[in-house]
Amino acid sequence: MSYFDNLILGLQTALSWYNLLWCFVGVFLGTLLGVIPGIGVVAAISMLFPLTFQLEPTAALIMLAGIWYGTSYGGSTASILLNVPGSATNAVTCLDGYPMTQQGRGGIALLMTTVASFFGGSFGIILLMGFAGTISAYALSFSSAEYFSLMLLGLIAACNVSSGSILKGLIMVALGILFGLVGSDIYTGTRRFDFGILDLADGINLVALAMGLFGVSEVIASVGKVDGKKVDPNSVKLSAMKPTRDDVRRSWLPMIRGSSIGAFFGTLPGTGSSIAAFMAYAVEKRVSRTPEKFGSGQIEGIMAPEAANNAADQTSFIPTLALGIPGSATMALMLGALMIHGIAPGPQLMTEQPSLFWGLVMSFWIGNVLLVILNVPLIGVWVRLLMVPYNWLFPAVLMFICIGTYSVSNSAFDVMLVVLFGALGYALRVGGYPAAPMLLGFVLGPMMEEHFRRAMLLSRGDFGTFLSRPISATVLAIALLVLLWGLKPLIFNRKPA
Amino acid sequence: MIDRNYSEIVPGLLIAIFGAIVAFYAAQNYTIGTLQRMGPGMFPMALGVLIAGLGIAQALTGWFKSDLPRIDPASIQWRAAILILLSVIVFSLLIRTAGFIPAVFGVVGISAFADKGARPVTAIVLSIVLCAIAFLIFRIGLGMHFKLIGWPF
Repeated sequence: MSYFDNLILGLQTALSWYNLLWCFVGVFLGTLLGVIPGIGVVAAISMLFPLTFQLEPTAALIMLAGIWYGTSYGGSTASILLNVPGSATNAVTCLDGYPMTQQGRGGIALLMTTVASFFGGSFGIILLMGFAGTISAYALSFSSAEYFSLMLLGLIAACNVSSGSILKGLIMVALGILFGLVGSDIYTGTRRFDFGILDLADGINLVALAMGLFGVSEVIASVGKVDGKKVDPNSVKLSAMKPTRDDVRRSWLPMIRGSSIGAFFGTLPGTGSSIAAFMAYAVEKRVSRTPEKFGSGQIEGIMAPEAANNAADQTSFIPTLALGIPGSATMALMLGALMIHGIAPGPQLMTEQPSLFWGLVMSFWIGNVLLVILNVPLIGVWVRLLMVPYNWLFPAVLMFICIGTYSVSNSAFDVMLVVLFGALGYALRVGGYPAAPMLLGFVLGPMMEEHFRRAMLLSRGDFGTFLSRPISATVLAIALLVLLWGLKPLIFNRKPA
Repeated sequence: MIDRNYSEIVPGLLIAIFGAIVAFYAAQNYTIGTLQRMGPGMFPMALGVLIAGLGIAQALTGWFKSDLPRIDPASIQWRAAILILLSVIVFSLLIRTAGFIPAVFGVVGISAFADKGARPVTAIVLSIVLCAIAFLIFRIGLGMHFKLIGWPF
């Protein structure tokens, strides 16, 4: 099939009533959960994950993806109006977005960030459409050695860029892999680390792990800290949203720069939208003629990061869909959704499931258009949501976590696992350990073991196979560099007390 | 004189011990195999050794570096943590025994008090409203089947 046949097939799939409905549900819920501070992207997706088990795989992915990029749109609302990021990707938008609200320009900021989000999102989708095919065609020749090396690089990169020391990230990845190994061994069927508990025979439930680590622990951390009573409803009237000609003129270049930076960081393993947004802001500040004005309501300071995080949201699908290797915790959940529906991720996905792949990609266009509609005329609805006291919202969130986890396989044991991982997640948060690498390790761990064992079997127990294959060796060299770069501040630069 | 950072040393050592236990447990209970034909124990054992090594490395950085951030015990939200975890435990215990409605009342009613300013009336009203919402979404909207209420014994 030619490229255009694929596009048309994708558009037909995405425009079917069924998929259109779930795309809408996804972006709607994404915006909703993005607006509410204290519920991040991963928590949002894991909360709504069980709902997708009832759907067809394409619709399930379309909906989950909609939640993912929807939260990036919605998250800027709380950043701008409350100075509290709706999710981590929008944290940097607070810096100049909230001062704009204080100057009575909050409405303009909301409108312009929606424009920036759409611009960045479109940029990312075009790249995804252009490159995913090439990469996956190339990746068809990869063997287990390449896959193992690529996954290792992804995991090391994920530790490096997350906040705090790389050691803590590596510990989290290793523990995540360990949790991933619980259950039956794929080669021999030996049950590992199940301690005789029958519920663990199939491994730890991904939903329970994600809900505990991200949902419950985030709720604990934000109780009593989020307060939404200080929003001025007048700031979001449509008349207050009209940008000046100067605002528009100053927004073009930051949007283009932000989108490019975001698209680049989105494809890298382990980075993603939050890093992309911070980098875009830093670059904008550097190229500006008036860097000292940043932080006092400069429109460039909101346009670049919002374009960057949405571009990164879309391009992060490139490694996930083309190689089957997720670069972030959210993408790991997407991959988990694919596998639960019995679809093997990897480069063959595009050729074997063209309607799923292209339907998903084309649904991004529809989702982004829907988000503009949801975020401009309906912004008042979301702002009212911010005024709902958080002490009403969080019991509701917990209830959805409980029912959602339980409904996956009618298992009360899985709900207990949520308690366990919730406690662990909160302890890790207090100790400054990043939870995202753990989820990534959890999903990638079993795949890594499988590829490692297969590669060693093929090479007759010779480790040289990872180094004698050029792609694998290159990837391992990059992984080593990333590791050393991350360890550098721990070894050198020792400051006296 | 270097100021030892115990918020790095203690967790680092605990992680190291945990890794050692994992490696030992895997070696004792599962077949290790050879490098060519790895048994189910090889990968977990290597992972346990890796975790132990990383834990020791973390403890060492805490020993030698004093500029790393420390845990502030005052920032821990004990009340929220205990009540919220308890509420989920109660849900887990009630959902199969007493049924859906008591379980939702349990999770909402207990977790509502995680906020210091919570009042009993608000918690009860919230439980009733959320019960209705959950019923509409999960039972009617998604067609899932739960025992709504029942005698646990």
